Amino acid sequence: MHGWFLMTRTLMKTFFRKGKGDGSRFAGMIVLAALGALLSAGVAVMFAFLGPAFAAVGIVPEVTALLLDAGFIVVLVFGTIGIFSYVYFARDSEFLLSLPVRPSAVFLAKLAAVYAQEIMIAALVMVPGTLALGISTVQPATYYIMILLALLLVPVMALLVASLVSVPLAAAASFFRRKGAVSGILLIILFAAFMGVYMYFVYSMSYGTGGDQSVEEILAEMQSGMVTMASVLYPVYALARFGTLTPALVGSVAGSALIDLAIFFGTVIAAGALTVLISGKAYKGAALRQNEHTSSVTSAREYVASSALGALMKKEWREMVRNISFAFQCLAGVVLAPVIVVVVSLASGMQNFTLVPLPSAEIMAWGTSLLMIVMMGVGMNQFATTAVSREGQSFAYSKTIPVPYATQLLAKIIVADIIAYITVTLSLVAAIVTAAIGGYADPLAIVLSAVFLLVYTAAYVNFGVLHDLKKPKLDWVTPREAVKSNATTVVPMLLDFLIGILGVVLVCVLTIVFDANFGLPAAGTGIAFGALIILSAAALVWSVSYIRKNADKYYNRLSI
Amino acid sequence: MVLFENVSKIYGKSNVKAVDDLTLELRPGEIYGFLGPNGAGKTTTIKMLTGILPFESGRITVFGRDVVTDAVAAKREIGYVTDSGVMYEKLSGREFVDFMADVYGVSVAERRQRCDELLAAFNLASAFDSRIETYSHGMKQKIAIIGALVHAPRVLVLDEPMVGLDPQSARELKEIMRRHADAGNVVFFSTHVLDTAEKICDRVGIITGGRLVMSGSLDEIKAAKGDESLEDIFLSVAGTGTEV
Repeated sequence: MHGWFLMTRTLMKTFFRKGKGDGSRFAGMIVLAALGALLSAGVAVMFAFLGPAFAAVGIVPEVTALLLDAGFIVVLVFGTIGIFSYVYFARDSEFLLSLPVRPSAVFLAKLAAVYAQEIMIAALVMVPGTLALGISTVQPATYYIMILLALLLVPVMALLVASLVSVPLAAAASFFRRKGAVSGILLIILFAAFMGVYMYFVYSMSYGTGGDQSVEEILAEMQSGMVTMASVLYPVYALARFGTLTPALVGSVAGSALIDLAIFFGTVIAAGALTVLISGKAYKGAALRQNEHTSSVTSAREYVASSALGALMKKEWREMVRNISFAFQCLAGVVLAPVIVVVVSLASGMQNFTLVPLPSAEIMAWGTSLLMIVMMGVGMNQFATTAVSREGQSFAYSKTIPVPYATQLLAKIIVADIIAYITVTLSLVAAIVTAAIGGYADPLAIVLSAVFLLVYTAAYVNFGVLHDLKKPKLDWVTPREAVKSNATTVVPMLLDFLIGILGVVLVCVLTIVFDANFGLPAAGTGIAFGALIILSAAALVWSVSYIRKNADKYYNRLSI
Repeated sequence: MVLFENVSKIYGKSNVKAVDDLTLELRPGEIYGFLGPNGAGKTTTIKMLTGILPFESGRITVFGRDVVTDAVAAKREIGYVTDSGVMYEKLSGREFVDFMADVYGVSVAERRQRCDELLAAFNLASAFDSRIETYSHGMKQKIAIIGALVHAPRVLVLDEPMVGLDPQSARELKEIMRRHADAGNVVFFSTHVLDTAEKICDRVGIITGGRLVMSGSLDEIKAAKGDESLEDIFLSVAGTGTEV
């Protein structure tokens, strides 16, 4: 216990202590906090509005559970990456394991450090919506106790699950030559499979074609679907039922609440016990095998010449794909974005199609798909927004090689564009196929979306690279600090989300207005997309010019 | 040649000069050893020369090319080995050398010929296709040296190059440095190991508190200081303003 406490205290200090130059990021942190507050406020307002409707339909516990599930999933995904990069692939593993402290204490101390970081993200995801929902639906005091318990323990549960998942993954990857790449691929497959399973439960939310069912039947189906979805993470659902004092298992409210609380706590304790039991031996073995490099020979055996630009592009790609933290943050979207687009497209397509008259349903459904492509396919890709930060201390080479900075930046931009366009293309294809199946494919909207994405993606990449160039995080020790704990990446992402939301709202509103007033929805769609394309093109041209004029100035400012 | 003209460097908003009015000439055909206690300004000087750090006043030229106004051309003349050993660790040794050769415009034939010699000298051939992250510290140092030499630079700059090298490799490196200088190039390196400086340097400079307090050939320095050993001279001038 003493060893774990000492280890945790030291790791927390190294994790959170400010590095050189962090003071100058204060303004950036303020902007970040403001954007985060804006997003939270938006979510809170939305759930405050919808709360009474949820209460009327009787699905407050289920909506609460889904909000907590969102926090769980976010922590599960990012926590697993954190465990891989900070626990298994950390450079200090050998040093820490040589100390007179149990391996399980080392593992749990590192897990505590990951928890301390993830709890902030979990709070942002879970608290605004649940708080607003609780107030707007006049929930009992237990609801607010539930929020506190959820904030503290849902991330714990997620991380415990993540650590249990990571043990076999890390063990499997340790036997391969390219451990980092294999771990990254296994993680991406795992999460894609997880999202696919979720798709099944999303389908369970469908409530028929609307024409033949009564409102009561539709609502009953919706309630049933929500219960099914919420039950996926049953312990969290039990916590939500405790908070809302919903008797589900026994007749008595108090008895049911106690049983639900016992289910939740019991799950946390059981997961914790399993983690402690397995972690020590499994962690030590897996961590030490990660550091055994008996055979990491790359495939090339001959010298291969390239241009300076080509050499820089190859270097960018290799340094990214061979590092698990970098690879996941930069490439996971290639697989996950299309999956998420399909999931959300099916859900929104089904709902709007049955309840809203055509053609507005089509554009709203397609708009939702487009929003997911912009957010997940473009905004979540961190290759551009960490282009300079990922260099870390090896940035010295950027300063010493006889290649103009504009050329070095161009190499980063080209690789970022390639990854972004692959992601966007796959997501767009997924959205088109889903729209065709759902019967809401609008050729005009699809073509204009493609043109918009072509221009917007390039503009976003330029902006992302430029944003990172202005204040890169070069003093990282673990790669995770460069991508995950890098505040620089969040501003472009949040701006992308905002642009996506505003853009989609513009398209939907203009289409509906032109349809309602003139009977010309296509005109509204065309005008909205035209404006978006022109604005994106202007941003692209400006960013190219700005980079050309200022790359040297920003590079010269940087030192390590 | 390399010329430092009244170069000064201040870090941040402090008044303390990390390098204070440095004037120094490095000539082709010589090995110049840059000595000084920890924090004296050796690495700062090297980083200013190689373009990593900006400086507040003065001028640095490399064979007539200003490192500020003609940076790319100046860098083309320099091969640099850092003291920190950081590099692109996810690349194999060969990939790293290919990268360095590509950015300096070295043909495949030339890089093959130079690398084969250096790999044999450093006994690194068997690890050449393994990732740098699997290398020991000494091996990383060797591959960094190979990367710096692949384009046959006219100025070879090394910051504490002997750290982490086994005795055989250290000897090989000294011979490589000597051959490189004898071919008409400049070799400029910093070191704490006075024995190494005495054995291979044509000239040495001692920097302390950011100021170059002594510079000249070993014979000149020793004659000026009453034929004391370099160690005694170093210990006596580090912190003083004695001039040769």
